[in-house]
Amino acid sequence: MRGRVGAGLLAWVAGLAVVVAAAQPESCPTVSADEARAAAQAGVDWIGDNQAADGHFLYRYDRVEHEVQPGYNYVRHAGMLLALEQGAAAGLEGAAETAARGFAFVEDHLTDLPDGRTAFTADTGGTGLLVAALVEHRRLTGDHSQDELLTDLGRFLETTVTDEGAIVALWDLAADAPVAGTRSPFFTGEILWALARLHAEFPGEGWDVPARRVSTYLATERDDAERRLPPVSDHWGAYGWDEIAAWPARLTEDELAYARRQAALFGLQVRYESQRRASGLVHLTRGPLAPPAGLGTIGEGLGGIRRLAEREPRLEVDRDDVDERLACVAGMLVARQTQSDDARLDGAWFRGAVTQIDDQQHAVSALLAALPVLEDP
Amino acid sequence: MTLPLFVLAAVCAVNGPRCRTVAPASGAPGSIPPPNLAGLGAGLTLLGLAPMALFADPLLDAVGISAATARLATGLLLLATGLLNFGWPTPEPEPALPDWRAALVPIAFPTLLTPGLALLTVSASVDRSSPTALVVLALALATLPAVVALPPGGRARSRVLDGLGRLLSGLLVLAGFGLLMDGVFDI
Repeated sequence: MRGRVGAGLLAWVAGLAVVVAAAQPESCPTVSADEARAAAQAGVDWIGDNQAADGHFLYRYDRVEHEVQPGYNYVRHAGMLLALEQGAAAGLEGAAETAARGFAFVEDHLTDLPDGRTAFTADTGGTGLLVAALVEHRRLTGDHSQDELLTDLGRFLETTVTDEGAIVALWDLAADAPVAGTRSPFFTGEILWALARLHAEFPGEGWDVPARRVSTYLATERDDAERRLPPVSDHWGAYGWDEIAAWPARLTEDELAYARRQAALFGLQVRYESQRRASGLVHLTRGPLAPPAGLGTIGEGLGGIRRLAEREPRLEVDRDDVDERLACVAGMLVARQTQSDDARLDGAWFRGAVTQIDDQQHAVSALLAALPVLEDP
Repeated sequence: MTLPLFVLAAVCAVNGPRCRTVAPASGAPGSIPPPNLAGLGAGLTLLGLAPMALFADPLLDAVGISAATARLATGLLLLATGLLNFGWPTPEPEPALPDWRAALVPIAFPTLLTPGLALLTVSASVDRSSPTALVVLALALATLPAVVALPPGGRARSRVLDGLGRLLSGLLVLAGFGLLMDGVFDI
């Protein structure tokens, strides 16, 4: 009998070990809307304080070596413009001015192509994010001075959409031809959102046709055709479907099912990330903290799903859970932001020793996406 | 956690056909009949699970684990338990505490009150409500005295029950996988 009882106790110990391995405590620092807004403001300040005279942003900085690291990414430049325009829309100080300087840099890097098309560098996602940023600016200011550019950018984007709805990731600007077979896990959603925004701004021009083609492809074929595992965490897609629902338009069951799966993917990532610790045993079992950019994209994705769920009651998500995860992302971002007297550090989010422009971009966007939740707890 | 999945997981986690042999056989005249002992053991088990059901929400809050993550862990544990039970032979009868205390050891513990059933209780209470969880668990636990109360049969019946126990272990693997996926794909 003792042996059986001992075996029973051993089973409990083993069972608890399984539970501990599978379910670590989830730490979600509680933050107020004011704290989240202040963190976003500090992020925007970092971007502006470290912006070069020609408008390009500090791309990568090593706080251990105290040096700016080489390299630049134009897609992320456009993404940063978007985050700044979102910040301007949310009333963050200096965001609009920093964005204006960043746009001046963009104007020097546009390529005019035949048939009234314009591209922002060869990575097509950059043009997509630039359109998203310009639309954000247009909606906030009512300034229509860039409408012609928006249309030219849109015409270029339209040519990046293949017959099945996939997106060509790289464009040979010299030859004005797609680089065959190039795909990106993020450009599909970026260009979907850009085309959806163009239709919202210019409803009579037919942008909805390529937008819906991309959307259908994204929801039904993209993962099989491009990357099944690990599943793409597509925050840009979430922005895009929210935009389509706001046209207004009725999303298909496939699109809603995909959005639901994305919501689950975002939620799982938040739960997992909130179990991580910077040190200790959990650091060994859960791995290092996610890059701030990655964490920010999850918040943006949840923000998109949240807005979509408000517009589209057929989206089967628990909105309380979505809010809880989004608030958790905001809490983690606020807790992980650097505070310092050094302008190269203060307000930035670091991944180890290094911060990169997209860390600020996605963190700021995620914090802004969380504000409606935090303002109405 | 859907109700059918919870019911399946609870019935398979208890696995009356597999556990039937732990109830001590009827001995001297006047001793407690095995079905009664099994029923008492099931009742004691339910009594042990009741606090977990009633305080499931504060318990998860205290340890900082979301309902979805708890479900994921429950699924993983039940999946592992199901795999072990599937490959393990039916437990042999073994010495028990005297008289009614046999319901305590070995029936309630270690046979019925397993970590898998305990965690399932917590997870289901959060997902479905404590009363629902306790009712389903009571029904699942009642399968043990029901099986023990079957009239004596030959080796053929014993084989059938062993096979049923193995089938329930296999189903526990599926139920565990279902809960695991439910936890993964929740928000």
